[in-house]
Amino acid sequence: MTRAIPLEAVLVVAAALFCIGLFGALSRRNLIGVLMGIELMLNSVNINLVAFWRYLEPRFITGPTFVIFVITVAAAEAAVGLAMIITIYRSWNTINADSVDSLKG
Amino acid sequence: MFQITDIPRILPEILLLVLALLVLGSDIFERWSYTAASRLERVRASAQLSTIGLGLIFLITLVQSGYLYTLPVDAPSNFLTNILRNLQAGGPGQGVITGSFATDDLTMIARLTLIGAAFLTSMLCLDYHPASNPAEFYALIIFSTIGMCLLAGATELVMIFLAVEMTSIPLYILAGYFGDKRSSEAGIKYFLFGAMSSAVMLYGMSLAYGFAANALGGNSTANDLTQLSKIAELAGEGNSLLTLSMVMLIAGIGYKIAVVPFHGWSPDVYEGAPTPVTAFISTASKAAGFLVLFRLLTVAFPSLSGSAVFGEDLGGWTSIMAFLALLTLIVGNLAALPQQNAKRMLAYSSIAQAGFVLLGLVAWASPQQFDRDQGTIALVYYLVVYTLTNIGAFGGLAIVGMAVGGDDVRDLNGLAQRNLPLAVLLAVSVLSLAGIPPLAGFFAKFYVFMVGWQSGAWWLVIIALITTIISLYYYLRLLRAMFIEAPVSMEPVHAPVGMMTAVGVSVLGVLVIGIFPNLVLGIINRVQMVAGL
Amino acid sequence: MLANYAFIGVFFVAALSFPVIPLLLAFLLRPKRPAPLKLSTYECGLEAIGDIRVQFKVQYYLYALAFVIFDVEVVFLYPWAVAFHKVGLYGFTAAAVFLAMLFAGLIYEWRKGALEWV
Repeated sequence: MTRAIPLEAVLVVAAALFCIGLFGALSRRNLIGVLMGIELMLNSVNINLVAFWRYLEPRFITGPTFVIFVITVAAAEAAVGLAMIITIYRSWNTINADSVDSLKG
Repeated sequence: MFQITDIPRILPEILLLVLALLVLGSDIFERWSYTAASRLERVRASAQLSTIGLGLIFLITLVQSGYLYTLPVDAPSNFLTNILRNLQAGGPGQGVITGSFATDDLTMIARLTLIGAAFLTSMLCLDYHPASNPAEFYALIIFSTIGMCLLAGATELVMIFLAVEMTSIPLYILAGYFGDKRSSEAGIKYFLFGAMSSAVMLYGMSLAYGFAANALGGNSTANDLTQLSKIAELAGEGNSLLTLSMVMLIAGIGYKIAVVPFHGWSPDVYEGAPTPVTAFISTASKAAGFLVLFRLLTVAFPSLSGSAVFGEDLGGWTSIMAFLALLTLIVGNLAALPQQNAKRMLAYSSIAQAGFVLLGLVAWASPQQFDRDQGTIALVYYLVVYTLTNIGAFGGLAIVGMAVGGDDVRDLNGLAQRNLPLAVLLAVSVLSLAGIPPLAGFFAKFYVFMVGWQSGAWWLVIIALITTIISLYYYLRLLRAMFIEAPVSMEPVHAPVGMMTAVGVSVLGVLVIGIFPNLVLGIINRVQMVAGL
Repeated sequence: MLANYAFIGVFFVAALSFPVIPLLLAFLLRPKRPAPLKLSTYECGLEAIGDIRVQFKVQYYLYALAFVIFDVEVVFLYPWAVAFHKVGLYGFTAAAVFLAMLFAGLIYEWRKGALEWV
């Protein structure tokens, strides 16, 4: 059943997701949107890892183990990120990335 | 599998974890009242606990490393020598714990540097009171130090990823700790850039795993495909997938060490973060990033090293490093010239310093093992010196910023008349950053220039020399402000004892290492034995 | 074979039709008598005042953040539970250490007052 869809197709999906996430992270004005873009990038990595594991090395569990670590760390990162966005909102009264610009030069 | 006997080998990390939990626990299990005196007492308690603890852990690590004194084999057996023998048995060796963490000389030197930097930082924070939840502030510094120590010894992709996150997440919070406009902006910028870069790095890791799984063709015998040495074994002549993965890994780690195309976040973060935290971010996290980059490139991708000379075998990672070094040196030094804010100027200066460190990696372009080893030694030596010097410089700025209330260059005006010892200490740090002869910075720069030249990247060394001369301009501007300009007011600048001691210790280190470089070089020389792993 | 994925398609169609068919039937069968009163927020009771966007207490976010962390850590326990008989005492010790750390986090949160509704 794994041969029904070639590995390349899965990798292309992952690469496309990664690019969408990167584009989102770079182009969104809203800080929450940027965070969502980053999550998308991390999830494309997960697809990659699971695909490589399932197609190439299904007898060992390096791939899924890696994925579990990525998922948990991504959750921790998202929690910290949301907390920081709350801090930004409290001190700046906005979560628009473009208006937060006191540091430059 | 992880054995009980492996515990002494990761003793510094375990002690750091215990210390962090102690700092947190001592804060929450005590009932603090809300008077001003009790709040001050609360800050002091966690600050002193973490400073003393980090100092003790530094000493234990130093004893364990055996660099000062190694117990002879035929020493008499009593209580004391038994403890020492057991401790040093877990010292630097060739072994790797469960394939993911190397406890060699490189890790040991990195631990000493990083724990030392954390110790000096927490000393800088003794009088730099965080607004709320003081224990968390100090505990986060320690948690981040654990991550850095793990990062320096990581020999496996999952471990590298976890260590990078363990280092970065506490630093994001520390940068935004004060919650005012500037600090929170620094925090969110650091977070967004950092999270994006770790996603890029992870994508590179997943490609490396896929490459290894593909190269083996389903014949793997254990869960070892993410180990760096396994990837090197399978790499052979290399292919495009592996090269792509390597480039993404370099980009991801390049963000952490702020080399030029990936440096956008660092001036903002350095300027907005609390100054002691800036000292920590710009030294320890950068040093750890360089060490992991070094281990990653030399252990996992030795077959892709290429050459740094134009026209011959271009495309390996040494050419990427040479190119990054070129950009970093030029952009870092030129962008520092017009800065009015001293913290921002030093931020660009530390970007430029990263360019010099990259020269140590370029040395791998040379085919001779001897030149490569020299490159390794120069890299580690530069990192140690840079860590000490930059903590001194940013620490001095922290004192001035706290007393005067600003960190522009003009806030330094006439510092010599307002607080001469502080001005002298700051001047020594700045001169060492500039690379003036009797100081450690000169010898470190000289060493990386030498290995860069040996590796054939002479064009890069010439550009590095020119940019060094340009950099004198902005370093001397700081000195001019301190010693020649007229002070705004004659009121003395108050320097708290703890902060002054931290700056003094780092400047003393710079002087001693500069005058007797062999003290440190003798230890760093041991790294070459395990560099190839 | 792509045909192997047909059952996912069938499942998808079934799942979609489950809510759509009743809604469609209701749309076709119900009598239509539009009136302006029906469009107001409440047909009876007070007039609605104020903005539609209500400010949530920041406490909600604290709960959510704490929940996300503890929720995701459970991911590590599933593989351990599945392989419980194989990993033996070694695995048990490792999981115990992991759970002890989570517990320390919970204690910290509790003592810090993050679980109290103020």
